[in-house]
Amino acid sequence: MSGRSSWSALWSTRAARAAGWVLGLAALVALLAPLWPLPSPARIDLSRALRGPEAPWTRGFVTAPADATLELGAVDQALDAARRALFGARESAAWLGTDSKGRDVLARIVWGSRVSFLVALCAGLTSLVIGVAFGAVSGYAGGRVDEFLMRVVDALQSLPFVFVVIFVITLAGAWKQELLALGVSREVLLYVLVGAVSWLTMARIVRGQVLALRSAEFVLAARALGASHLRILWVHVLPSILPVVIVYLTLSVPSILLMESFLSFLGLGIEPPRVSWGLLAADGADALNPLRIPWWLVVFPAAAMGAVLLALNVLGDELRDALDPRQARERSA
Amino acid sequence: MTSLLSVAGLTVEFERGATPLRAVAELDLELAPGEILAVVGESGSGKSVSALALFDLLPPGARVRSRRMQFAGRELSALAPRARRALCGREMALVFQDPQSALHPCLTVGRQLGEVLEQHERLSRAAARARAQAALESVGIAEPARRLDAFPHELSGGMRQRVLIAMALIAAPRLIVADEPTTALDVTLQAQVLELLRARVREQQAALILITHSPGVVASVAERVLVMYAGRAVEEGRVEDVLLRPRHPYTRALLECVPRLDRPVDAALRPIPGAGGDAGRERAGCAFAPRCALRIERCERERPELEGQAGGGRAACFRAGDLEALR
Repeated sequence: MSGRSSWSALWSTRAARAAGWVLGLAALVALLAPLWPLPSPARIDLSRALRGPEAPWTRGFVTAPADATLELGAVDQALDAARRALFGARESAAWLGTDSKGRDVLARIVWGSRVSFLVALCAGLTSLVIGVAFGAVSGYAGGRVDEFLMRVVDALQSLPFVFVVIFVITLAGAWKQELLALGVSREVLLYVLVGAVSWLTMARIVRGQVLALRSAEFVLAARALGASHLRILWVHVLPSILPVVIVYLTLSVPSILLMESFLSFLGLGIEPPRVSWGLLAADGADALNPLRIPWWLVVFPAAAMGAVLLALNVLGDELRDALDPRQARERSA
Repeated sequence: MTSLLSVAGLTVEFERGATPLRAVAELDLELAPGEILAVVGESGSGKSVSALALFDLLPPGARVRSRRMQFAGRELSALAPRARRALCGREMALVFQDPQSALHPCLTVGRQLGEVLEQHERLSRAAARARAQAALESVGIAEPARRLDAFPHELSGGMRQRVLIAMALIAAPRLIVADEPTTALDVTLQAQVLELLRARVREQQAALILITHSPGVVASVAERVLVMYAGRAVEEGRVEDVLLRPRHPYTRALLECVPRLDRPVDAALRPIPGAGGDAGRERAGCAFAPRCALRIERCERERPELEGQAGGGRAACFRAGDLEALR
């Protein structure tokens, strides 16, 4: 793969640039969440429950009440201090409304994106590293190795995921203190579990592709000229399957986000006061009733999620095109 | 004569059902440094399989046996896979038939050429690139510096074949096996590519095995020729002898299938009746007997061995002696 030309090809299309900006912006907002002058996403104030959105120009900033902040890590504390220095006690009014417990929707979207992005990143990386490696080795080695590795995938895939999660989370509950001492919270456990299932399908897909490529003539030619197996896999096989890997990766992220929301909805995932996009969607759906429709609880989180997923899919699509030398040249010509 | 490549009793079988399919049977090969040997035969006669067996490239289902498979004094079958792979590309190289599919579609030409050097000589990517450019130049590609960054699909068929040849030659191997290097090319390019191969082989003092099914290619390049039928060598000798005075009915029939300028236009080509020899099914007698015009009763019972013939060359036919008289 000739790196530079495909990156410049990618950046030359307007759709890819737009998607890149959206994702970059979303990542920045999520990373620097404590820096923004937002109300605490965990502050419950029933007197302000279910207020509709107010435009920033009608009511911009209000004075924040002193409240117990979230448990933050060292970096986040520094960011929080920076916010105090910059904005003092000011914070945004409820621009996107409040939920049934009076929590600010905008703050919850921003803070929730952190958890959701982390889950997606976790799943994406495991399926990229473990899934691709597992599938590539299985498909390339063939024979008994392939048979064995694929039966492992079969076995893991046949486990009913929800039961496994319930089992592990419950078990972890019994050992909570010991695990926390090791730095493993329930959230970390969730990331690990989501990662553990997300690579299975990737391994299958990669294995099938590699199996087909293994006997391709250019692979044979590389072997005839003495390329080692590792070099063949890395230099000759992987670049050819990259488009498939990328497309599958971008397709799997939405389902990962939904899986997280499902688990959180069951009370197995993220625990309040923490928040994730999945929880927001579940809360929003809960709050809807025939008498009163707090549409902002559904529309804004869904819009945020939709924008990020759309950008992700566009970027994946454009990346796949850019990695195919034939298409890249045709477009620039 | 010390031989560069010495193969005796090479047999390749594929596992298919109850009876193994024998693609190559008891093949002997001797090749001196600097020699050009042509291997001729129909599709399925075991030419390519023998080449792949030399490079240990056969699929897992294949069984390769041989009494001897020596390259430059080293027994290939006794080498560890890693050591054998180190030989491939560096000391012995294989040129594939179809430049369309033998080049990686997503890697630039320069990268693919450089790969070989990165693998064998641990060169840096920049150094490999410089050598790759020189290699492209040596196979007569114009503007080599620019072509380094081209993808295979941006090159013409002839150029792709040149790139393949450059790839095989880049590490200056002592043995080059070219598996029908001109089949995918049109006639003018065929001549160019053959000339190129011959010149480069001579320059590097390398030996060349040229696998082909075209007697024209044989005549223009090779010094010695080996004719294969149904996985066995049926005739072997100097090019002039084999092409002008074939000792085996199959060789003669093969030559008569080719249009020639020195014959009247209306002289019909004579296709060989029947289908190509089925390498898989072992016959008691000569494999060519069912299609042979000179078949005698003995051909059905006994298999003729490859034997030295009067006037040089070897042929595996009971009637090799009569063939001259029947001309």
